[in-house]
Formats: sequence, structure tokens, C-alpha cells
Amino acid sequence: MIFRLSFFVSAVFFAAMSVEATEFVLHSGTGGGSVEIAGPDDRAQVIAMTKQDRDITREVAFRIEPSGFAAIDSTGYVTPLKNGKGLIIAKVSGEVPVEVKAPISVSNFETQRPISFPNDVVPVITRNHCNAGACHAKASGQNGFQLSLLGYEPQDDFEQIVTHSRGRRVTPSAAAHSLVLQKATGDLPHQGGARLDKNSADYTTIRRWIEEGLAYRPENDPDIERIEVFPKSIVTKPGSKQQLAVTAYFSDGTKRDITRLAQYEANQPDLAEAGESGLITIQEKTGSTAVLLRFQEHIDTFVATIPQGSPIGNMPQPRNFIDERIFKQLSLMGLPPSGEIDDGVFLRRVTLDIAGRLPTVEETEAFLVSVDPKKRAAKIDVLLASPDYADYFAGKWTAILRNKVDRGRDWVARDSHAFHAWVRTSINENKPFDQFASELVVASGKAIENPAVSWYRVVKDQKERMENVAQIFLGIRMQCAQCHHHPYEQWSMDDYFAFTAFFSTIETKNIKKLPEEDIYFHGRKLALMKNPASGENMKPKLLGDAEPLDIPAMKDPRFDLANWMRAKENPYLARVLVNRYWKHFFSRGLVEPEDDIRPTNPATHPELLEALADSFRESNFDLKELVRTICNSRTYQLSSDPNDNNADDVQNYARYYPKRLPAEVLLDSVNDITGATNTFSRQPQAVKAVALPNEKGTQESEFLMMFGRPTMDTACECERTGEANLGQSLHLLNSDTIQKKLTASTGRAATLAKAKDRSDEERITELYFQAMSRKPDASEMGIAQAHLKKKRDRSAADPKVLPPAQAEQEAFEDIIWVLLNTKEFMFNR
Amino acid sequence: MSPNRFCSGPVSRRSFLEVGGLSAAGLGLSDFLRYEANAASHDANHVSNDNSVIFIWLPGGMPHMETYDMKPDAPMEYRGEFGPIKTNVPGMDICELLPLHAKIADKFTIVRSLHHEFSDHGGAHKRMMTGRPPKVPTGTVNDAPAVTNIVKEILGGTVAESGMPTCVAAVDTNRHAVDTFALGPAYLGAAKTPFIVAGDPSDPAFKVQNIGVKKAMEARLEDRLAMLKGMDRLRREVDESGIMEAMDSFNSQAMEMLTSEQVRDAFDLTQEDGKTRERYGHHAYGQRGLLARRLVEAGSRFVTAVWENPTPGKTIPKNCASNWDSHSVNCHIFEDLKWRMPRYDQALSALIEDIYNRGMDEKVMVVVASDFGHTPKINPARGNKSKVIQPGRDHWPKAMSVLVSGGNAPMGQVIGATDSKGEHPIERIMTPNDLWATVYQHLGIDYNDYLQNLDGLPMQILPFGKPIEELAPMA
Repeated sequence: MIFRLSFFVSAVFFAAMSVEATEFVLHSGTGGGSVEIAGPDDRAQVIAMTKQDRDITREVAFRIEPSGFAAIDSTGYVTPLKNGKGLIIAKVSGEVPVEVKAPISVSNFETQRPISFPNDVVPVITRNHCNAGACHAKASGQNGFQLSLLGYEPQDDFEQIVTHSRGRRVTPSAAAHSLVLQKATGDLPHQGGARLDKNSADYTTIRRWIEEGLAYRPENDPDIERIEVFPKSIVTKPGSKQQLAVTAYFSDGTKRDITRLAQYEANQPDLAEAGESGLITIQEKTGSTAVLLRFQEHIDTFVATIPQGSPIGNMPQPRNFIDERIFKQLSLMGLPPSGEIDDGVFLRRVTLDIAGRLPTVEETEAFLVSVDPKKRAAKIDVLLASPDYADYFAGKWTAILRNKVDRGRDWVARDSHAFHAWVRTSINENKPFDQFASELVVASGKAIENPAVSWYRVVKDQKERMENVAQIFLGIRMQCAQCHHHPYEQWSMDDYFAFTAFFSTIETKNIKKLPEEDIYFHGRKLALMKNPASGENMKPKLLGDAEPLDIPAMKDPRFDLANWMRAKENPYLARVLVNRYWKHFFSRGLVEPEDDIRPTNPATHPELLEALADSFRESNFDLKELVRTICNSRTYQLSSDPNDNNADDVQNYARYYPKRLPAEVLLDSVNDITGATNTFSRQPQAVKAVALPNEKGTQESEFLMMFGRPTMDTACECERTGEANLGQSLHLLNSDTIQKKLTASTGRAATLAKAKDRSDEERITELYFQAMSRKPDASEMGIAQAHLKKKRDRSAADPKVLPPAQAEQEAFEDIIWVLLNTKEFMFNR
Repeated sequence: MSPNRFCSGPVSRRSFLEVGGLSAAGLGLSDFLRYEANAASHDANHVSNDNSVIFIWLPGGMPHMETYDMKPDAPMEYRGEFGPIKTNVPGMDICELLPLHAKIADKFTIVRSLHHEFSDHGGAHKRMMTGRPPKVPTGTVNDAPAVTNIVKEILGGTVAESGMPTCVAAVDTNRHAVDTFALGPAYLGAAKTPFIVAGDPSDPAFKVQNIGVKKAMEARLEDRLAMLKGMDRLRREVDESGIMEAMDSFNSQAMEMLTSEQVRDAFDLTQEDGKTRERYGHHAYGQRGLLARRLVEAGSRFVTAVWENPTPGKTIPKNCASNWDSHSVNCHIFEDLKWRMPRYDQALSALIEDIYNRGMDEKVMVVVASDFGHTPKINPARGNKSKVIQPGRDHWPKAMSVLVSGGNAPMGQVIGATDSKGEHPIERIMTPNDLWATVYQHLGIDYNDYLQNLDGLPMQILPFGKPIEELAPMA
């Protein structure tokens, strides 16, 4: 709730204003029609905003009339001096001075509220980073003094400070001589340096708490129920500033301004930095970003949108709801989209993205000559129906579902092959995604009969099972809440262990001689999971529910979990899936990272994310339909070539963001252009790298390892890396592996060299069709032809040193080498 | 600089250090790339020198009772066949198999009191290499990055001034997989693996993979690069993520490595004069030691030299083993050591002398370590090959010796001690992490700093351990 305090601006006054006058209003966080200060320690942040939502707090001159009962500084921060009532007056000077007024009162100035350890002291500790993960909140503490991370366990912190170390940390009789204060101010040597200024309010709070006798909390000390930031979001300009005001709402109905007590954390400091007094500095970049605010375990988020504001020109006609929302945001941001791609780029892009391979020469030729106006949509359907689609996406899913053989012997390899086949079949048949997720979560039995259960073989720990399911299928990273309240989310340790309880009844029967017949089953016991911090046995509770479920011992609790996950009203399953797939096609999730969806990590396009999730649910979790929707959008078919005004865009999809081919796809593509094939142990000869079932392929292939194919150790897509490194460069430029592929007697270079009946142009064009899905331009053709000629000339000059056949083959090898080392080849652009 | 700097690190990484970096996980790929491409930018605050480390690794475990921790007064079934000899440092006795060591004992320091809890080669490799107790006590696939990966993460992939790879690991042929010796980068990703040089540098046909360009290929590579220049025309401006830019930069670095005489020469042992090569010894230990010296001299910062089989490709003498794993089933430990140790003695003493003679001893620290010690009590059994009962020692992580030389540290010391039978450390009881803290300190890396794993959790570079104070750098 925000209270606008603008009503003191008289209508007469507005009428008299000229166009140059700055119209503005005053806001405060606690509001209520006036700034009401109810005690000597209360403060208030006043913010002056123009009608265009520009913060001018630091440009206006503030005063309080009558003077003497409260003071306001140039940042709009109000400090009480005694009881009284009056007006805050903010004045913009200039040709047409404008004054805006808001009422203010100070009461109860004579009654000082006793200090509360959790509500007053802990926030000071947190703000000054004493309980940061790298300092006293390390698992081992810091030099014997251990605090809970971000003060999530105030009772423990209280004991640490008051009673531990024989009570020597605090001295009520001489508060200023307390060890905690002397260390914090740097009066005594402190590895963390001087953190507190003796004249600061933070210092005073702690000193007063010690002087008052080290009470944990005074009588009737209220709890905080929530915090709220004002403003919630703004659209602003690069280089601007925005003062925030934060209010805490208490269980006794009171509220307090905590602007200078809350902690601020910018999600992307290169877009917006957050100062300790709640002043946000927008950097010289455009985009949208969030700042997280924290007070105790409460969080809120402020979002800043910084448009570029370039002229848009003619926005293309939206083809579906994706385009509508993307183009709307582009208009808002002033980011003109790039043009549409031509058929060759489209074919290469969509074939790589859906089928994980390059289009063949024949496919490219056919597609380029086709005059069917619907050929793009038709191609998407053809690719989705192809086995390559199933191979490619099975590889994606088996990686995050961690289909590891590990150190297992043959039987585990068989297990992992069966699991891969189950995933691949599910994708090939277009099994509704909710069903797929559910089959995995409730899997029981033997891997040879129900391959899905193999996931339980790899992911053995109950907590890890819960964490993986939460991350993969719900987009929630619960890991943090295992040891402390989640610092960016609502989840507590109780939530963590209560959610883990769904996996607490699974038992395994090991069949030693035939391990693939190991049986995983519900142990017919009550699902319970102990929270080690409280010692309490938690019953299974669904995320966000207030009460746990009562599940009888005879019933496998995972069915309740799976039913909840796939329920139409469950927001999580569809949302993370569409975000994951969005990222697959667009290189960037609407939320980044794609599996870390939370209010404090807002989507760049929240409406689009919800629209995609709704559409996915309405389609009955149809994965192919989702791919169709994405690939048929104009947004997906935008060129990656920047225009004059969108080169810097990295989150609004004003153009397609090129991506390096994933390791497997790149290896297969290198094979396609060189005419080589793969050999992997326990795999069919010439197996495609995208069809490899488990992590063994990565370990066997220097190429796959180097280019970042995961070894399936985590449920995180981030394990796959697309980054460049020196090893890759050396490998592509100078390795025997690549040289062997180029020089193979059955390879493309050898074949082309022998095809003397074909013209040079024809053969070079074939290479370009295969590598780039386009014809070479005149200059490229010229360079390649010149190289052929050069080699032939050398051979003619001295055929003994360089026989003609060898010259011919070497020339093609060189050209292919060049093509596969170009960025155009290595990227989907 | 913000007042939070001390505990929380640079401002841009503040949130990550606070609680585990979920928000930092939102950094784009490009940010990570910039780390990689700009090499030392990761933690410029902490890196303050160009020191380097040669890490000699003896896989299988160095028997401490036959090297640096002699127990001549222990019972026969403990002390073994060999006696101690005096060195040029009074009171610092070592095994009689190390006569060349004995002449230069003032140029190394022995630590006799390391120990850990992992008695399988796999677990012990992981424990030693990563500075963390592994989650699984067997197998050599790391769940946390090895020290060499962390060094590469912090210092960058190549050394800016020389174009040399920052981290190199030199191993025998067919031992090149990163996981063989638990050098896997875990969550840091494949880019952080050291540059691996497989092969026996004493073999005349020795060639460094992907670096040497064959004569026949030189002209062609030139042709190819000229063509590539004309044909690689996709504007890298289309890629705001920075990957294309990074690729171009790595390509030119790679070309520099391929074509730079400095880099090529660093790997080329034929540049050394015959006497020096002779002094190191014509076997894998010696020439790999020499290679390591050449690499740090040329700029590399962390060179792992695995001394496994001293003469790869040749027949291993009867009753000897290919590596240091001297169980009685594998070898006759004393026969094995009589064959192995002269080569070890020659190679290591040559390396140490060479480093000192060249005045590199302040900047270069040589560290010799292995997975664990061997059982102080000899455990005879029938050899798999010899078919006769023979002496051997089994795995013993409860006590082990390591050797440190150079690094501007005080030399000629014996630090720590084990009990009368060599079973347990009784003085200056230390873990491998104290050794790593010493190494990180030497490299100017703040081992209290944090890296981020794939869950976004902050992982302290070294979760515990502090530099061995007796090895504190001299003023």
C-alpha cells in the first residue's frame, strides 16, 4: 500500500502553471495521508516523483514547517526532534517554482521503544555483512564467532553473542567496551576491518541493546509479517537515479519505515546498482533488471525497465501470441527488430534447433527451390516427426536426468540404455509432458521392466531426489533451504524437509547377481523426514501449502506429489518447461537461469511466460506443439544481424541471438562436412553423437569433453557449457583427430577430389550447401577456386613432389578445414 | 572501494559471496567468458606475483619408510632392507637409495607428518589433488576441482606475456585422460583442465599433441589461415554474448602457440645441451622433470609432472612394478626400489640443482607428493607375476612424507615427525590442505576466496588448512 500525498497541491496552483513547470508528487513508504512518526527511533523516507515517474528527490529543496519538531535532509530522509505537527514542503526552483506539501506529525517522542534483538539488532548485523556467507556465517564461523547466515536463526545468534565465549563479547556495564562493538568499529584488531561508525545509527542500536540489558525481545514485541517497496517498478532512463522507500508491516498492525535498515542486492549491477540507503543508480545500459530487498527472511523486488527509446519504424505483423508480446515489449523499449531471415538461414537454424543436425545438401536444395508459401511451417512439422528430433531432445533430457553409468559394469550400461530408450520413445511418441514427469517421479519396480526407475539408481539420496525434481520439473532450487532459510525465496528448512518427505519411503532390494533386477519400491511406512535443526519429523507437505498431507503408510506418497505437479492449477511444471524450451531455441530463458524461477528473479517478459505456460497446459502438455508455436513465430525467424539500433540488445529478442553448436551437434556437423563417422564403444558403428545415451561418450571423446558435453553430474543445464577455450581452438586448428577426418580415404575431400566430371563451382557449392545451407558468394567462390588452382599449379610444376591426385585432395581438405573453422559453421545464427 | 571489500570481495561478486550466488548464477555466459578471455581478471586483487609450481606426482604412493622417513631402530618387519645415510644437513638423514639427494639436502625441506583418511588410490588421488575429502572414497572422477583447475580458473588459461599455457600436466602415453590422476575440473568445466602433454619426453619421437606442426603441414597451415581470413566473415558483432570474440581470441592464442617459437621451444627438449639432459637422466622421470623446468621458465605457472613408469615402453624388470604401488602382489618392493629410486634420485636432484643454479628458486616451488604413504609394516605375499612370497607394503594414508624445494622458503628442514614405527604423525600433524595452502600462498592465490559450483553454492578454494609456517617465504 502506497499513499500518495499529492492532495495538498491546490487546483488553483496547477491552473497557474506554465508548461515548463515540473509537476510532481510526494510519496512515503508508511504514508496514511501523512508522514506519521511514532517514536524517537522512527524515520521516514520521502520521495518526490514527477508525473512522468522521474525521481527528483535529490533535486527538490525540502523543508518542514513549522521548524524544530522534525528535520528532513536533502535525500528526503526525515528524523524526529520532538512531538509536533506540520507540513513537509518540497520546492522545485527554476522559472516556474513549484511547491508540493505533505502533512507530517511526530508523536510519542518521549517514549523510546526498547530494542528487540531479532527486529533491530539482527538487521544491523545483516546490513553490515557480519553474517555474510564468507564471514561469520561460514560453516565454521570466523575466528570462533559464528552467526547464522543472514540472521535466519536469531535465537542462535543471540546465544552466540550473549552467552558463548563465556559471555565476554558483551559488557552491559560498559556497553561501548563490549568486544562486539570494539571489533566491529575496528578499535580492536578485526580481520573484517572497521564495519561500524561510532556515530552511526547502526552502532547506536547495538550499544543501546547492550545498555538495556541484553533482552532477546521486549514484551509484546511484534513480528514482521511482510515488507513492501515503493515504487515496485519504474520505466526510466540510463544514468538516472531512483530512491526507494521500504516499509515493514508488523503483526500488531503497526508499520515502520525500514529504508535504511533493509538490505539491497542488485540482480545485475551492470544495469542497476543499489546503494545502502535504498538509492538505485541506473547504469548507462538499457534493458530491465531487478533489485532484491531483504529484511530478516522477508523479501520484495523492485524492477527497473530502461528503454533504449530508438524509433521503431514499422513493427512486423505478429504471427502468434509470442510475437504480440515480444513486439509490444520492443515498442516499449524502443528497440527496432531486425529483419526476417531468408530460407537458407531458416532451414539451417530450425534443423539445428529441432533435429540437432545440419540440413543435408539435398534438403537445402529442395527447400531453396520450393515455392510453397507454407514451406517453413511444413518443414517444422517434418523435423518434429523425424527420429532426429527424438535423438536430440532425448540427449537433452537424459543429461539433466543424469543417466550415468558411472563406474558401473555392463549391467548399469544396459540400465542406462533402457532409460535413454524410455526417454527417447516418450519424446518420439510425444507423450504429454505431465505424464512423462509423473512416470519418472512415481517410478517403482525393476529397471528392465520400468526403465524410468533407473533415475532412482543414479540419484540415490532422498534429499538430492527432491532437489532434482524441484529443479527440473518445478524450476525451484531448494538446495539453499537444506541448511538455512532460502535467502531468495519463501522456503524454510521445514519446507525443505517436508518436501523431501515425499521421497522418504522408497526402499531398494538389491539383487546381487542380476543387478538390473534391483527393485525400487514404496516401503509401506509413514512418510517422515527429520529437520535436523529442530529435530522435528516433518510430514510430507506440498510447496506453498500451509498444512502437511496425511498419507497412510500403505500409500506411496509420491502419487500425491505427482498428482499435484501435473494438476492444471499447478503453476510450476508448465512454467519451467516452457522457459527451458524457450531457452533451447532463443539461447536465453525468459527467466535466467532457466530452472531458477522465483519472484526475486523476475522474467523479462512475465506475461509471455504465463501465456506460454497456459498454452502448454491447454495443449495437454504437448511438447511438439510448443516447439511448433515457438518456431513458427516471427520472433524466432528474425535475423541475427543487428540493425543500427539493436546490436546491444541481450534480453528483448530484437534479433536472434546466435549460439555455438552444442558439443554433440558440432561433432556430428564436422562429420557431415568431412564425410567421417563416429566410433564409440558399445554403440553402433557411425552412431551420431546426439544419440549417445549416457556420460560415457563424453569421457571417451576429447572433442565432446572439450566442447562441453556434460558428464551428467547435476540436474542443471548449466553443466553443459558453450564457452570457448584454448583447447577447442588447438583441437580444431591442429589436431590429428580433425586431420584424420579430413584425410579419410572415404571422406568428402577424397570423394570430391575424384569427381573430376563435376566443375569446381559445383563442388565448392556442395560444400557451402552442406556447411552453411547457402551458395558461396563470388568472393568465397573466388578464394576457393584460387586455392584449387594454386595446388594444381604446384603439382604441375613438380608432379613428383606433389602428384596431381594428392594436390586435388589436399586442396579440398584445405577448403573443408577452412569452412569448419569459420564462425558461421560453428554457430547457429 | 566499498567498505565491504574485506569479507565480501569485489562488489560485483558481493551477492554471490553473501549467500551462495543464486543471483550471480544469472550472469550471462559472456561474463564467464570474460573471466576466461581476460585471464587474470578473475581476482586481480589476490594475484600479486608470477611465481610458479612444479608438482611432481608419484602415483601409487611413495613409501615413506624407504625415502624420507627412515626408522632404522624399528623392528625388522618395519624398517625394511635399506638404511639411512647422512646428508649435507646434519641430522637430516634419508634413505641410502638417495645419494644425490644427500648432497643437496640444504636445498629441500621434508615434511614427514601429512596424513588423510583415504586408503584407496582413487579416493586418495581425489583427496590429495582437490584439497577436499571426496564424496565417494573410490574412483578418480573428481567431485570438486583439482588444485590445477582452480589455478587455471583464477590465473586464466594462458599466461599473457608468453602465450604459455598456465597449467600443464605431463604424463605417460595413454595416461592422458584428466580423470586418470584425479585432475578433473568438476564444476569448473572442461576448459579448466590443464594442457595435457602425454608421452615420454626421453623418447626421440616425443611430440606434443596439437602443438607441434609437422614440416609438411607448415605450408598448408599457412594456406589455410590465409583462406580462413578471407572466408570467416560472419561479423562477430552479431554475437553480443562474447563467445565469438572469445573464439577469435583463443584462435589467435592457439595460432601463437602453434607458431610462436617461444612456446614451441619451451616444449622442445632438444634445445637443452646434452650435459643437462644427461644430468636429469635419459628416462621419463628425468626428461619430464627437465620439461617441467623449461615450461615454468617459459612462463607456465603450475606444471604437474607425473612420474609413474620410469621407462615406459620398455620391459619392466622382473619383480618390479610400473608405478609406485609396491604391494607384494605387484612387486618385490626392495627390488622395485633398487630399479626405480636411482632414476628418481637422479631426476629430482637434477631438477632441484638446476632450479637453484638458474636462480629460479625464489619464484619456483617444487613439490613432490603422492596419494599416500605405504604400510610401515611389511606385508609379504605371493607375487602375481613372480609366484613366490616377496616383501611389499600396502596403502597407508595415516602417514606420508612430502618434499618441498625452493619457493623462497627456508630449506634444509625436517618438519614434523612420525612415531617410532612410522605409523602416525606425532609432531606437526598436518593434512594435505596445509601443503596446498602453502602452494596457493606461493602462487599469490587467496585460498579463502570462493568459487561457485553448479548449484550456485559458494565453494571455498580450500575449505580448511593453513600455510605451513616453517615454509613461510623468507623476507
